[in-house]
Amino acid sequence: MMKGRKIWIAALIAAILVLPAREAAAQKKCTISGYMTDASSGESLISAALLEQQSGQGTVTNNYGYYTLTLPAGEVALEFSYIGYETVAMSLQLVRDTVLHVALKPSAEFLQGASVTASRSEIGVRGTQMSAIEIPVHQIKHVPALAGEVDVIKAIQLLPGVQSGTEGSAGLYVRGGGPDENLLLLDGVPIYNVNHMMGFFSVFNADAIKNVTLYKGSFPARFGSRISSILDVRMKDGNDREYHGSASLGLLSAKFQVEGPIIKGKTTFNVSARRTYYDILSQPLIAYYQRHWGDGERGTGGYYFYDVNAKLTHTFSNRDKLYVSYYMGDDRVYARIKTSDELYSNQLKLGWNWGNIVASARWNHVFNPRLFVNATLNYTQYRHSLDVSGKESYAGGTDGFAMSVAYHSLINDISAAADFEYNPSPAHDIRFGATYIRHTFKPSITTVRAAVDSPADQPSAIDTTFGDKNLFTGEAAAYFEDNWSVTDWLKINLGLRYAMYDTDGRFYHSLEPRVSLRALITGDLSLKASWSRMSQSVHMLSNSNISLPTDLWVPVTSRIRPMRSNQAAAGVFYSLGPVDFSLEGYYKTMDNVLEYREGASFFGSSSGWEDKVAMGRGWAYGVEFLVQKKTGKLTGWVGYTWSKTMRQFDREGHVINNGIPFPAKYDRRHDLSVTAAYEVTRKIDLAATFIFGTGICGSLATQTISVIPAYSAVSQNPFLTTVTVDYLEGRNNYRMPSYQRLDLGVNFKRTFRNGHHRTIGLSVYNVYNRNNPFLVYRSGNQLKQLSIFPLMPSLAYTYEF
Amino acid sequence: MKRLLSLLCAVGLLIGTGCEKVIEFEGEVARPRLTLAAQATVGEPFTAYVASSIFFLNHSYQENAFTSSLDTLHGQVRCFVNGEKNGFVMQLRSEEGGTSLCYTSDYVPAAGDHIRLEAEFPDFDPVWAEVTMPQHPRFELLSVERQQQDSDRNDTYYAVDLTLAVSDDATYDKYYFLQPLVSYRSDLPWWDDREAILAPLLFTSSDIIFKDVNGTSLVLEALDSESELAGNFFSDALIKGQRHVFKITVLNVPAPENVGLFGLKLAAVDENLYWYDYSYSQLQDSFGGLFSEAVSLYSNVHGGYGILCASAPMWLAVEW
Repeated sequence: MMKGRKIWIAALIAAILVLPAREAAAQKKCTISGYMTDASSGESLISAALLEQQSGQGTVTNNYGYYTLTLPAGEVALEFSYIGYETVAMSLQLVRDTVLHVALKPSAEFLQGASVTASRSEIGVRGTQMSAIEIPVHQIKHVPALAGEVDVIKAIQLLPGVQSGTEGSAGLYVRGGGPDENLLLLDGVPIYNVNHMMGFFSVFNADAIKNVTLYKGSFPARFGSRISSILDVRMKDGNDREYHGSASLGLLSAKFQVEGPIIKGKTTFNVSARRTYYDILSQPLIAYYQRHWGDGERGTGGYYFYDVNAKLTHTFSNRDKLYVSYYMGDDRVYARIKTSDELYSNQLKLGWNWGNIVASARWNHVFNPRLFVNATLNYTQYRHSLDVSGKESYAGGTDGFAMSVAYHSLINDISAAADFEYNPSPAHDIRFGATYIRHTFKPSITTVRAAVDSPADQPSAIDTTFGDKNLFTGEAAAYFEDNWSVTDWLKINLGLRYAMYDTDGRFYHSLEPRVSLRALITGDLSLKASWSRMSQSVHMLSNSNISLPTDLWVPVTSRIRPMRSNQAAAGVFYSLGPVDFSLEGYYKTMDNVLEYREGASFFGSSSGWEDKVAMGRGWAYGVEFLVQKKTGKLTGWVGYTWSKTMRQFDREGHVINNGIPFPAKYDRRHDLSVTAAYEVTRKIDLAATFIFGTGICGSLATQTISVIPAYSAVSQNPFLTTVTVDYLEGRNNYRMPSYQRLDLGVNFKRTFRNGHHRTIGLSVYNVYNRNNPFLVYRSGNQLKQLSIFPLMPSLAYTYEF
Repeated sequence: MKRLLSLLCAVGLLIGTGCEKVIEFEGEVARPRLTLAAQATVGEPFTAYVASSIFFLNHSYQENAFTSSLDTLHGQVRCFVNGEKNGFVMQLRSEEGGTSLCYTSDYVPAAGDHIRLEAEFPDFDPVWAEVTMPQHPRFELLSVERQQQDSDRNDTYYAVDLTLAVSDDATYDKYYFLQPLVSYRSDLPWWDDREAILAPLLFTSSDIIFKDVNGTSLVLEALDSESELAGNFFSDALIKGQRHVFKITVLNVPAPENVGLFGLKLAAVDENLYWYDYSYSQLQDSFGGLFSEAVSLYSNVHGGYGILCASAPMWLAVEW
């Protein structure tokens, strides 16, 4: 069986390698290649389309704006297009390999080129890629947002196949996967915790972002490391002609963005930053409270987050480009409280910080018009620390007490990758590459220090550190994929990825075949199907309803195996002018997924995390429908998902729920979202979002039973016969009330004579003040629901220069 | 201005309309089921408790519904020992209230007995559970050593090293339970040290240190619950049919002059008892915890809820 499979794979590779040679022998081929950029800023354009009109052959630019298309020699009619840009058409006599850099002008009408780009894109009707969605950043910026803070993740949550967590959280639950099963890439670098403010905002600052693509399935072989989705977020390079920027003031935060050339046409920069100022605004209130009701208490406290995005791009030549990007963000909670009188004083300090650092250096090199390489060095870090210290002292220096507890966890990744793109013939678009990641985990280190100073006894002290040891794991992968146009109507993306995980003295191997195929029925209608296998070597342990910084990233070990998923999907894709329709169905299985054992908690037991979790399996299936319009006065999408997601933990030593299958926490049967933006005039645009979702699941005891007490308790009280306890019938047995919300927004825009713009944005979150469930809990014999975001109006002012 | 103020007030009211509210339970209301609870002990008369479960998320919730809904005239609790055909009917001891009905019998379980317990009451699904009685454990106390610990202001405490041997019988998969207990000596004339209620709460799992003496690890499972006692279980899986020597250090033992009785409660228990205790202690720990996973109490009762489990205890007094 294995031998047969090897022969089949060898034959396939041979066919892929030999076919281009045969074609080359038949007719002379020339390659057109180059970069497509924005004519006004020089910004490279991702997924911009090139179409040769006579033959119907075409391609799209890669993540660096580079394209390459091999065509038969002779006269060719080329059309370069991109959404929101004027189409450039030209004819030329192709006699040799030609380098052609094309700058597209932004279109005033915002319609031209739209249909060409949409259908040509690998995600559109003509591409092999399915289960993926591109959202233009301008569309994300039009989605009405909580507190006026435009957020990429919140926009992604509105797409079919993507479930949100509890109200306001930034967690993504894609096709039945958990929030840790998404590879969130910022300029190609994984970012571990995308949450600011407990998940109410994400780390992605829309001002710094150029392009967002979400892959929910049909994963190309170049992607790996996570089993449920890939969110590929690309940052802007920066304007290479002149300086531009913007400053924005909202209810919660202020932000700015500046970009421009350092050396015109050669070196550009783009820097953006934001910070919340709720802590600063609240200081007078805290001081007022302490003055009037403080009772000797003095101190301060607050919360804020900030983040900085920076990117430097240098063009050495038409063949070489260097990109250096950096992100740093922190959330900080702090409190300093001092209580004192003549006899006694007490001080308490709290510092709770978490954040990411992401840095990358990328080098693009064009070896020849058909071969492009991107070499990358990455560093990513997520850290979390909680420091609490207290000091008590009495007049005269007697019976003093001081204590401090520090909890620290950290994950560091250093990685290197090389990705090649090779375009040997019109029929083949080949990618191959390799990557290596070195993970360092410090899952949890707790340091406790305490000192008692009493004249009655000897002073005593505790100084101890405990927790899990550092863990080092290696992750290596190599891949090969070919996007192969077999005939005019049939196109196949064949891929194979091999991943190896070296952890805890054990090697895990994963061979991951990927296949996607597209059958073009008409120019605007296609059928697609795909199957992909993925694996994942890191897990996130989380048992709360909200995204907390205490969520712990841990590696696979000799006891905890890598997660794996298999996903099959099929769908129909139709394009009607600027409107794209898609209907997809999927079935996905997941293995070695983790859940906390019953009663396990992040707090409490000092035993290792491996003892707190159980390994099991999951499966999910569903149907997704999407109508998306990216251009015109009216833009937006309607997405609907019907899905079911289950988990089962029935392996020996890993039993949860008595081994009986149970719904996953974020199993929503129905999920509907409607997002629309309408440009009323050049000065006013309107936006609206409506969401409806079946309630998520939770574990809720609904009965009381009378039973015997614990065996160990009998010894204490022999007269104790029975006790009453709440009985939970099964994990996630309760479904919360449904979720629904309408948000509205309006932007008033003005352009000044000097070309500068200002926008006043007014938005209302949860217009009809629906009490959506954030938490449901028992109080006596009643159920209570906590809602956190009622109707919330917000205002933001943005000035662009 | 007035309009603006009115508008602001309206918006304020809208926003302020309760972030927290009582909601109706939407879902399937669990119908009452029988709860059967019994711990069979080798050498002690067999007793079982029966009650109804109560769905508490409705307005007619009443505490006495545990027993008031059971028709004791037509209900029956029947016990079958070692596969006997008809079994015997257990007797209702009293209907004095409380949260369970108590059914007793003259039957005294012996090691190796197989017990099947059934209960049938009108309007309820019948329930049943089965258990096999373990043998008494065979522990020997080989040696006792004590060392004085650091004193606090008033009292002296000792660390007591106990070397024990357990001889496992290979016939039955079971767990061993081990718990140090102590009772304080009192000068009160009516106080009888030997009958005083033991106070295992003095010891937490961090006070009890297990050391392996001859190789095989016992894989101890300490039930370190905040609200429960320090009891330690270990499976016989690794020492099946063997004699195994191990050492226990019990910390914070009060000075002998203050102690009436000090020793170890040792028991062989069946798997059901272990899993029940395990889930019970988790339930106690997780109660109300926002950051803990909810716990479902272990049950081996078919058709209803509850537990039928078995133990064979012994007491090992420590003279020191």
